[in-house]
Amino acid sequence: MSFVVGVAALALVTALACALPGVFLLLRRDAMTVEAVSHAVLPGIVVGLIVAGSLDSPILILAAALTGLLVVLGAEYLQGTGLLEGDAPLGLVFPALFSIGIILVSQRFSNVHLDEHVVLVGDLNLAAFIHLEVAGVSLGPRYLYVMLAVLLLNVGFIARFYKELKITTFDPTLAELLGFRVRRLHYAFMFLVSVTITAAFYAAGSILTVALMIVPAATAHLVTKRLSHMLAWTVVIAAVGALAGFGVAYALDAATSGAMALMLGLVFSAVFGFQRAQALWQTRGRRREGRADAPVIAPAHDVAREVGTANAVNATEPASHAAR
Amino acid sequence: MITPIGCEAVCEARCLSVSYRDALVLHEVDFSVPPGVIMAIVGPNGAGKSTLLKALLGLLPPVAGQVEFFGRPFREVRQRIGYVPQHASVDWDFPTTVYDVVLMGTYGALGWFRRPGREQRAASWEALERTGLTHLADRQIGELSGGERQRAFLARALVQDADLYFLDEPLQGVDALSKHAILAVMRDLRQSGKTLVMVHHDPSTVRQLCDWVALLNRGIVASGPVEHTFSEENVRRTYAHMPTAEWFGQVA
Repeated sequence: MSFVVGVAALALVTALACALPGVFLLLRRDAMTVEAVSHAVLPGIVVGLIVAGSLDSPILILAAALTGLLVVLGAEYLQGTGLLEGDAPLGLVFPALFSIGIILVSQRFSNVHLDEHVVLVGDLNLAAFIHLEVAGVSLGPRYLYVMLAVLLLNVGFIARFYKELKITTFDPTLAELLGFRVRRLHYAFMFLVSVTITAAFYAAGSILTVALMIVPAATAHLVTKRLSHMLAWTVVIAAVGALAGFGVAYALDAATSGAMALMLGLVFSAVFGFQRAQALWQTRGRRREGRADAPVIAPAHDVAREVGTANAVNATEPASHAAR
Repeated sequence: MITPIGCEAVCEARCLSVSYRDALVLHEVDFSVPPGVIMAIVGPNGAGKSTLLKALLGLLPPVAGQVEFFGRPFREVRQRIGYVPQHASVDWDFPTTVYDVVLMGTYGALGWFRRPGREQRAASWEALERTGLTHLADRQIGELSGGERQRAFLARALVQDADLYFLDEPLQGVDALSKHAILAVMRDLRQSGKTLVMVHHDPSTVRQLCDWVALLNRGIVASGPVEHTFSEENVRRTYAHMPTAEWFGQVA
């Protein structure tokens, strides 16, 4: 596999691996949690790097993913105390962990190669640099296989727990009443998100990973009314954004991760703009026709009379009501 | 508390106390539902009606007290209990159709991993039919009117095929057609021996709609068959400081 094809493949697989869990994150209104987790994994990555020595080690990914889960748990704990509202618990926890990570990075431990620039935006070319070779034949970037494994993990989890993810996202109360372990599934899912973010970190950096996770799902949400369709569209949009972004970056010799995020943003803007224009057009048309969709609301009394029950004692209703 | 002789209560709460943070909302509630009735829980705003429902179903942890359904704890009989929430409680933009929402009612019986099959799909279509929503099955849930949404949630409870249904203000803010449809289904359920407990916002219709009533204001004021319990005296005690006479009209 040539270097260019390797980078393109890595871009595609990274975008897909991020976009799939993004669907549920968006629907659970957890978009900001991605931001928090993506920053909080940093100390885990640095410590993992010191221990394991390379960015594609499974030990590193696991260690960092656990640090990411700390944000979720810590924020939920703070939220549970009732002393802080909204995003504040997240805002308290992740900068603390991120700052530890930054201090560790700036200490430049021996043989740790990670600079602040990579932390923020990643470097796809660097991630794709080392190729996997078997008997002298290049099988593409080694990191491609790490991302492929994460992608398969995400696909497997969503396929296996599709029904459970759907019901706990749409109506957690019902899910709980029906006997589903809502919190347990939530933590399992957030761990998976944390793993995905950590793995994507090398290729896309902590900020652009958020774009890869949220933008395709947000775009797909605009155009679909079924969860299964939303997942399918998310995959399509992520793939288009990744490959277009790679193409632009290649032509302009620019940063691939940045171009990918930009392309995804453009796709979203285009779909959004088109929908707004369409909606505007429709309301105008309707106004011209002078249609009114006012619902008919009758007082509770009438229906109660009409339907009646064994206990309908109230027999002296005005005749006008009974006539309905 | 009066329960028909020879009938075991389908839901029984003893000494149930619930608080939100520091404020005690329900104080030592004794509550019992006989089988085969439509029961209303009525009381003024802030009386703790929805709180009582949530505490019964274990959605709010009680400070003290015990709840049993069919003589057992909730987790052992959860499949036999249906719940229709108050309508503002889900994300209406969620990408799901009305049919899909109804199908979710079957998830509980399926448990983890198993997927809905032919039987579940048939049950969902039947529930849509009963609530008059068949023609809207393919709509996104948020495109429905308030009354239609309420019917969709009723249909979702129907596919669960429960024996006891809890409904949180099912008639609040719904159109006449939906009200008619919801009440028809409720009476149907009672006819087939099911029990329904609804939080009800309108005391003036209790006599027409229900045969059992619990008057609630932070605690149970009175509970029993409507003809005895829903007296002007009891209602006045429940709705202190409110003009109640008009709810009785010529009946009182």
